[in-house]
Amino acid sequence: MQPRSYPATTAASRWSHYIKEKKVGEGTYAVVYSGWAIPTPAQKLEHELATDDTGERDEVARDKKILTGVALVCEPDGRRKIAIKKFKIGEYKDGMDKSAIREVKVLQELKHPNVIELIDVFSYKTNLNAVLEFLDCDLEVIIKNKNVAFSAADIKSWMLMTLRGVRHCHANFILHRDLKPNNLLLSKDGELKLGDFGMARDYGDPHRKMTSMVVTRWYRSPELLLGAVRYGYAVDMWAVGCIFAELMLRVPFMPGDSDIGQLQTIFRALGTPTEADWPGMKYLPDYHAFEQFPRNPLRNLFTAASPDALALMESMLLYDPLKRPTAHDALNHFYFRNQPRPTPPAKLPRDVDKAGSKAKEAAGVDPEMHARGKRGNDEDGIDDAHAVRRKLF
Amino acid sequence: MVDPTAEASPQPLPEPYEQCSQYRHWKHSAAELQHLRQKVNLKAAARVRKAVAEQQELTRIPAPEPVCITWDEQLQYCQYYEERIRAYCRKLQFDRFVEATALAYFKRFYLRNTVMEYDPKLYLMTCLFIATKVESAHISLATFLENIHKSPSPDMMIELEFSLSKGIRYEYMVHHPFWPLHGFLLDVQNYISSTHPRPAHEHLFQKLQRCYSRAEQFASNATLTDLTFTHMPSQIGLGCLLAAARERDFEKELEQYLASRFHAKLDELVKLRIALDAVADAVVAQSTKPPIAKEAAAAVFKKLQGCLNPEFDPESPL
Ligand SMILES: Nc1ncnc2c1ncn2[C@@H]1O[C@H](COP(=O)(O)OP(=O)(O)OP(=O)(O)O)[C@@H](O)[C@H]1O
Ligand SMILES: [Mg+2]
Repeated sequence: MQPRSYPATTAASRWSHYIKEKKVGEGTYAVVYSGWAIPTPAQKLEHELATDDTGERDEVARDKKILTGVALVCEPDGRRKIAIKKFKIGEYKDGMDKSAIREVKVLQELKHPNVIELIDVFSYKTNLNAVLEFLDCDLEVIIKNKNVAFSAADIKSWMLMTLRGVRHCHANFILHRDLKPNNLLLSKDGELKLGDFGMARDYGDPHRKMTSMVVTRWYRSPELLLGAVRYGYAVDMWAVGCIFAELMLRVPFMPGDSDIGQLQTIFRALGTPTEADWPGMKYLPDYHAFEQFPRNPLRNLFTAASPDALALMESMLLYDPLKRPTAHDALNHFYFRNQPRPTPPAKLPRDVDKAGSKAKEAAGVDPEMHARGKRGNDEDGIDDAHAVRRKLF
Repeated sequence: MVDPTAEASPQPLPEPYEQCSQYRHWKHSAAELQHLRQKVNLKAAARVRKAVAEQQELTRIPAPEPVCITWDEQLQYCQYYEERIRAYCRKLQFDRFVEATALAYFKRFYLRNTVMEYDPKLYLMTCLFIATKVESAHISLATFLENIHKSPSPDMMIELEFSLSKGIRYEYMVHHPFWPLHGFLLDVQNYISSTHPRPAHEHLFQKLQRCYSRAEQFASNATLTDLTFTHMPSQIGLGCLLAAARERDFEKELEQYLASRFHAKLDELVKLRIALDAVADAVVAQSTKPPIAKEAAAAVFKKLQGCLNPEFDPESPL
C-alpha cells in the first residue's frame, strides 16, 4: 500500500505535506491524482526563520513576489486543492524519464497567471511526482459540449489568455510544442492556463537541431510537416491559429487522418503555397511536388467571423513561419482593441451538465489520440523507444 | 511595450529574472554562503556522531569518536572533483553547456549536503548524466557508464539521480554567462559602429574579438567559482569581458561603452561597477589558481574514512 501523504520538498515552501486522494486522469506519460496541500503552521515557519543567517528569509520573500497576480484559491482551513501528476517510469534503462525532467524543468521557471502552477515536486521510491494546481476542465471539453453557445467575446477572452500564456513562454525562450484545446486547462474561476509541458523545450541555441516530430498532428505547422529541424516560436503560433479556428467552427479545423495526409488537408483548406507565399519551402528536408489546390477565401467557411478576427487568424496560419506574428504582435492586433470586449473569465461558458466530458467519454478513447502521431527525440531526430511508446495503439 | 489589453494590476509584475529559480533559491551573498556551509556541516557532524554511537551500541565493537571534516575541507575536496567533471566532459566531448550545468548541480548539491553522507565520486557522474538530459545532449546510460571509471550499477545510478534531483530541489534550469557574454559582444560591436569613424572599425573589431575569446575562457572559469551563487549570469558575462579588456588593451573602449550604455542611471552604474570589479577579480584569481593537489584531496579522503555517516552505508546494521 502506498502512502497517501508525502512531505514537501522545498524548505521555504508554505506547504508541509501533500495528501493524495483519488485518481482523476491518466495520460501516456502520467497518472494524475487529486489531493490537498497542507500548509505549514505560520508560527513554525517564523520560528525556523527567526535565527537564520543563510538567506532563507529572502528566499521566502522572492517566492512570494513571483506569485503576484496569481490567484490562490484555498479552503477556509488553509488547505489547497492540488493535482499530483505521477510520471510513469519511462525508459527505465536510461534512468529518470527525460520528458518528465523536461516538464519539471520548464514549469519550475514559468510563473504566470496563464500557465499552470507547479507548486512542488517530490519523489517516492523511483517515481517523480509534480504537485500542480488543480484544474479539472479543459477547452476541448467545452468545445465538445454542444449545449453551450460561444459568443465572439468568449472566443476573444480564451484567445487573449492563451496568447498571454504563450507570450510568457516565448519571452522565457521556451517553446510549448504541443498546444491544442486539450492542453488548455480551465480553472474554477474561468482562467485559462497552458498545461502539459511534456514536449516543451528551450530554444536558446539556434544551432542545435530539434526534432520535427512534435505537436499533435492536427495542430502541427507546415514547416514541421516538411521535416524542418530548425524552427521557432512560429510553430506554437500556427497551433494557436488552429485553436482559434476550432473555437469558431466547434470542430477541429484541419483534421488530417495521417501524418502524410495532414499536409494535403492543410493545402485543401488554405490552398497549396506558392514560392511567393513561402520562399525557402523547397529547401526543407521532406519537400516534394504537391498536388495543387486553389486558395479559398476563409470568409466562405467562417461566415460568422468578424473581419478583424479573420485577419488575425489568417496571419497566424500563414505558410511562411517568418511572416506569422509573434504572440506579442498578436496581442497588439486590433482584434483585441475592437468591440466586443473579451468576456471576463468568471463569466465564460462552463461545461454545463458535464455534457462535454460525457461527449468525450462516449467517443471511447480520447479522439485526439488518433491525431497524436509519434513524437521525436531532439538529439538526432530519430525516434527513440520513448517516441514509439508515445505512438499508442 | 505596454500590453494594451492588460487590466490594471495592483502590484507591478515581477521582472523576468526574478522568476527564475536560480535567482529565487540559489542566490546568496558571500557571507550567507559561508554561514550556510558552516550550518550544514555542523548539523551533519552531529548526525555522524549520533549514528556512530548508535552503531557502536548495536555491534558492541568499540569505535573511536569520529573527527569530522570541516566545511572548508569539504570545499577543497569538492573542488578537486570539479576538475574531474571537466576532464570527463573533454573525454566524452560534451559541450560547455553540459559542463557548466553539471558543475552548477554539483555545487548546489554540496552547498546543502556533505561529503560525509554523500560520496562526491558518485554524485559527480550523476550531475553529468542529468546535465546531458537537460541540455539535450543525451547519451544512453549504458554508453555513459562504459566511459566512466569505477561506474556504479545502472540501478544505483537511477537512485542517485533521484537523490541528486532532490538535493537540487528539482530545479534543473541553470543560466550560464555564455549567452549574456555573446549579447554584450554584439552590443559593443554596435556601439563601435555607431560612435567611431568607419576606417577605425576593422582595427577595433579585431581587438574586440581577441578580447571576447579571452572573456569566454574567463566565463568558463567562472563556472568553477562561487560566482555562480553570488552574481547574475549577465553580470558575470560583462565582468569577464571587463577582465579580458584589461588584459587585451581594450579597457578604454569598454569603459566608454559602459558609460554610454548606463549613463542615464548613475546609481545603477555605480552598483554595476562594484559587481563587475568583483567578478573580474574573481575570474582572474581563478585562472591563476593552481588546481587542488592530489595530496590535499587524499588527506581529506583519509580523514573522511573516520567520519562517514554509517546510516548512509548499505552495509551498516543501522
Ligand atoms: N492540473 C490538473 N488538474 C486536474 N486534472 C488534471 C490536471 N492535469 C492533468 N489532469 C488530468 O489527467 C489527465 C492526464 O494528464 P496529462 O495530459 O498532463 O498527462 P500526459 O501523460 O502528459 O498526457 P497526454 O497523453 O495527453 O500527453 C488529463 O487529461 C486530465 O484529465
Ligand atoms: Mg494531455
